[in-house]
Amino acid sequence: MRQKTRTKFIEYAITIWVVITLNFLLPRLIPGDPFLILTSQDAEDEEIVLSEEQREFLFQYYGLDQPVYKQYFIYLRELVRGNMGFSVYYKQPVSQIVMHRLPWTIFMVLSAVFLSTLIGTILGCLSAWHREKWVDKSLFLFMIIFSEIPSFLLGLILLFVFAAGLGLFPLAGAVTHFADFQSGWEKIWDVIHHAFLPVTALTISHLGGTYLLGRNSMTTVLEKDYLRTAWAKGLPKKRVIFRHALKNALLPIVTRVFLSLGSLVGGAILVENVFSYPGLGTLMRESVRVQDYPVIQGIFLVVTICVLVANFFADVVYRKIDPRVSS
Amino acid sequence: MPKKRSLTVIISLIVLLTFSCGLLYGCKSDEAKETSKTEGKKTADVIKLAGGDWGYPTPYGLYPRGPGSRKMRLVYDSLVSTDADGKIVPKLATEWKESDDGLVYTLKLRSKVKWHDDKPFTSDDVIFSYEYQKKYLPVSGGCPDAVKQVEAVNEQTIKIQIEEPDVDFLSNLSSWMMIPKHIWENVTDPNNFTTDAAVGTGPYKLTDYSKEHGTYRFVANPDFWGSKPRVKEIKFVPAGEAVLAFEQGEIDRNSVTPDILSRYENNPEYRIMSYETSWAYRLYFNMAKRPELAEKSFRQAIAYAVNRQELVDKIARGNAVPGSPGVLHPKNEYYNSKAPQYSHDTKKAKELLNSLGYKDADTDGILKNSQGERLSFQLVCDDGSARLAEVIKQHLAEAGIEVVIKSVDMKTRDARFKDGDYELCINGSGNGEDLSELTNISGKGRATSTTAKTMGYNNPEVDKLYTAQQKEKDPKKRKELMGKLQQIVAEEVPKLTIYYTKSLAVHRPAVYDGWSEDTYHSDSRSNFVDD
Repeated sequence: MRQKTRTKFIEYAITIWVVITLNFLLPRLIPGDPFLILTSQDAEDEEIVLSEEQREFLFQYYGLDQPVYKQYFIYLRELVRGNMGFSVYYKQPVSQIVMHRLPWTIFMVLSAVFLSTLIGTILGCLSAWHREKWVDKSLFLFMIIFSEIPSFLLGLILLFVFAAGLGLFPLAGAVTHFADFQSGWEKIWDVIHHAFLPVTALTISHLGGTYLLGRNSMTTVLEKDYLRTAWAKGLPKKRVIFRHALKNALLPIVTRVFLSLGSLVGGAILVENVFSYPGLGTLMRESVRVQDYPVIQGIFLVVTICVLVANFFADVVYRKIDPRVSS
Repeated sequence: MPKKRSLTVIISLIVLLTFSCGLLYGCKSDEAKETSKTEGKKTADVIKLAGGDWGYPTPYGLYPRGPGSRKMRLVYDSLVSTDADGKIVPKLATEWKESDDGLVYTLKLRSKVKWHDDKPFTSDDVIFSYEYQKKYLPVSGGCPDAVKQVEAVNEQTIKIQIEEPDVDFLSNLSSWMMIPKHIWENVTDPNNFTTDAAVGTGPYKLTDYSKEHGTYRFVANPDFWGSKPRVKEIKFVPAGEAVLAFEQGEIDRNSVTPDILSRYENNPEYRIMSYETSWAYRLYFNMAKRPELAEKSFRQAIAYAVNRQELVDKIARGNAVPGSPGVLHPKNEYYNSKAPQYSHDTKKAKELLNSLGYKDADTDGILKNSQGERLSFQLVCDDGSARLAEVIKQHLAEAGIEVVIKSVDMKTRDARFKDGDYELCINGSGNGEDLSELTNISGKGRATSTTAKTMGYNNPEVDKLYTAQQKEKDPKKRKELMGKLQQIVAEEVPKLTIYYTKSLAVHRPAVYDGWSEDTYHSDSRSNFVDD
C-alpha cells in the first residue's frame, strides 16, 4: 500500500514537471514577443508603438533578456518558493490575477457539473426505465443533438433569445457594476442572475454525456440478478429504483464527475468569452493575444493542478464508494 | 419511420426558435423607431461606454494600447498639447518662449492648479516628472529624449534645455504627463504601484477600477483648471456583444461596421458620426529579399495593377479613402496633391513589366523572366487583411504576376515584418504617418524606423529631405520640403498605401450629443471636456 502511494506521488510529480516545462516553452514558441506591437487590428484599438529604448528597458525589467535556459531555472526556482512571477501586461503578480479570476470559473464549472449530473442522471434513469418507448427515444435524440452543439454557440443563442430578445438576463459580466446592494441576499441574487445563462449553456452542453452514461449504467444494472431478487421480494417500484438500482448505477457517474472537470474548464473558456465573464477563460484569451508569458504559464499551471486534484479525488472517492476496488 | 418523424419535429423546433429570436429582435427595433425626436443633449450626468481592462490609468499602470492611454489622459495633463490641426495649445503651461538658437524653452506654468488631492501643482512637480520618468520609463511617451536639462526659474516658471533644435519639440511635449512629486517620490516600482495612485490634475478623478471585471468609473473634478466637464460621470462597463449592449441601452455609444449601419440610418433616435482616420493598410515590398522589387518601374507596375478604388468599394464597403502613393493622407496639412497617383491601369502595368523583360511566352497568363522563371511572390498578411490580400492577388494576376497568400496571426506577421522575413506584406497601422519609416535615419522613436533598412530601400535624398523638414521652422518652407519628399516617394513607391479607413460611431443624441467631431475614439478626453 505504501509502495503504491509512493509511485502515485512520483507519477503526479513527473506530470506536474512535464506540464511546467511545456507551459514554459509553448508561449515562447509563438512568434513575436510581448513588446512587439507594430500594427493594430483596426483604427479603434490604435497601437502604441514602443521605441527600441523602451523595448530594451522592458526586456531587462522582466528578465526576458536572459538566455532561455536561465529564465527556465529562475522560473522553477521561483515556483518552488511559491512565486508565480509578475505579469508583463497586467502589471500585477500572477498569483494575484489568477486568484481573482479563479473563483468565478470554479463557481461556474462546479454549478454546471452539479446541475448536469443531477439532471442527466434523472433523465438517464427515466430513459432506462422506459427503454425503447417514446420517452426514451425522444430523450435520446434530444440529448444527442444538444450535446453536439458547441457550448459557445449555445451561449450565443441563449444570449440572443433571453438576454437581448426577452431582456430577462444581463448581457455580460458577473455582477451589476457600481450598484449599492441593500443586503447580502440581493448581492447573491445578482451573482446568480448574471451566472444563469453561462451556467445553463455549460450545463446543457455537458448534459448529453452524463445522460448517456446514466442511461447505459442504469440499463446494465436493471438486468442484474440482484434486481430480479428485489422485484421478486415484492418491493415497491420506487424503492427498487432508488435504493437498489440507482446506488449501483451511480458508480461510473461519480468517476465521470471528477474526470469531466478538465474538459468543462475548456468549455468554460469559450462560454466566458461569449458573456465576458471575468473568469480564467477571458484572461487566457487576452494573455495569449498579448503574449504575457508569466500569466499564460500561471493559468495553465493552475488548470493542470485543478485537473490533477480532481483525478486524485476520483481515485479516492471511487475507492470509498466501491468496496470492490480497495480490497 | 418514427425516428425520421421526430427528427423533422426537432428541426422545425430549431427553425421556430431561430425565427422567434428574429421576431423578438425585430419588435425591439420597431419600438425604438416610434420614440419621439429629441434635441441633442450637450451635457450629461452619466455616460456608459464599453469597458474592458486596459490597465490602471497612470502613465505606468496602463497597458500599451490606445484605450489605456486615453483613460490615463482623463486623469493626467501634459504641459502643452496639439489640437486637431496640429497647433500647439496650452495645458498646464500657459505661455512658452523659445530662445533664438532654439535650444532653450521657457515655459510659464498655469497658476492655482491643484492635484486631485488638493495639493498645489508647482515647478517642483515638473522637475520631478522629468527626473522620475527619465529613471523609470513610462509605458509610452515620457519626456522627449532630446531634453538635456529641466530647471525651475521660480515656482511658476521652468526652463528646458534641449540637445539640438527641433521644430517638433513642443508638440512632442504633449505625450509627457505631469505626475505629483508627493505621491511618487518614494515609489521604486512604479509598474506595480496601483493603489490610490491615480492622482493627476486632469478633468476626471478615478473613483473605481476593477481589473477582473474591466470596469472604470471617472467623476468630474470640480477644481479642474479648464472649462467645466460636460459629463459628470463616465462609467466603463463590460459589454460582451457591443452591438446588443448598445441597443439595450447598456452603453451609450458604439463604433460600428458598415454592415450594420442600416439599423441606425434614417432613425431620429440615433446619430451616426463618420471620421476619416490616418489608419491605413499598406503593401510593403521587400527589395532585399526579391531583387526584382528593387526596380522602380516594377513597383510602379504593381501600383498601376492594384485597383485601390475597387478595394475601397469591395473590402471597406466604401468606408475608406483610397491610398495616396505619397503615403500621407489627403487631409494631412503637408499633403502634396501633385504627386503621381497611378490610377488603375492593368495595360500600363503589363507594358512596364514587358519593358523590364518579363514575357508570357507560353500564354498561361503569368509572366516569366529571361530564364523562364515564373513571376511569383509570397504575400504575408494577417487574418484581418486576408480578404484584402485575395483581391490584390486577383488584381496582380490580371497583370501577369502570381501571388501566393500566406495568412498568419497578427503577432507572427509583426515578427516576420520586423525581421524582414517576407516578400510582400500587408500591414495595418495608424499613429500619424510622417514618412520616417522610409528613411535610414536611426534613433527615431518608432521601432519600425528600421523598415527602410529591412526592406532594402535606401535613398539619401529622402533622408536629407526628411531631416531638413524636421529642422525647418517656416511652415511654408516645411510644406514645400514635405511636398518634394512625397513627390519622390510617390514616384519610387517603396511602399503602397492601399486605403485609409473611416471610422463610424453611433450614439443616442437624447442621452448625450457632445461627441467630438475631431477624434473618433469614444473614450477620448475631447468628448467630455474643452480644456
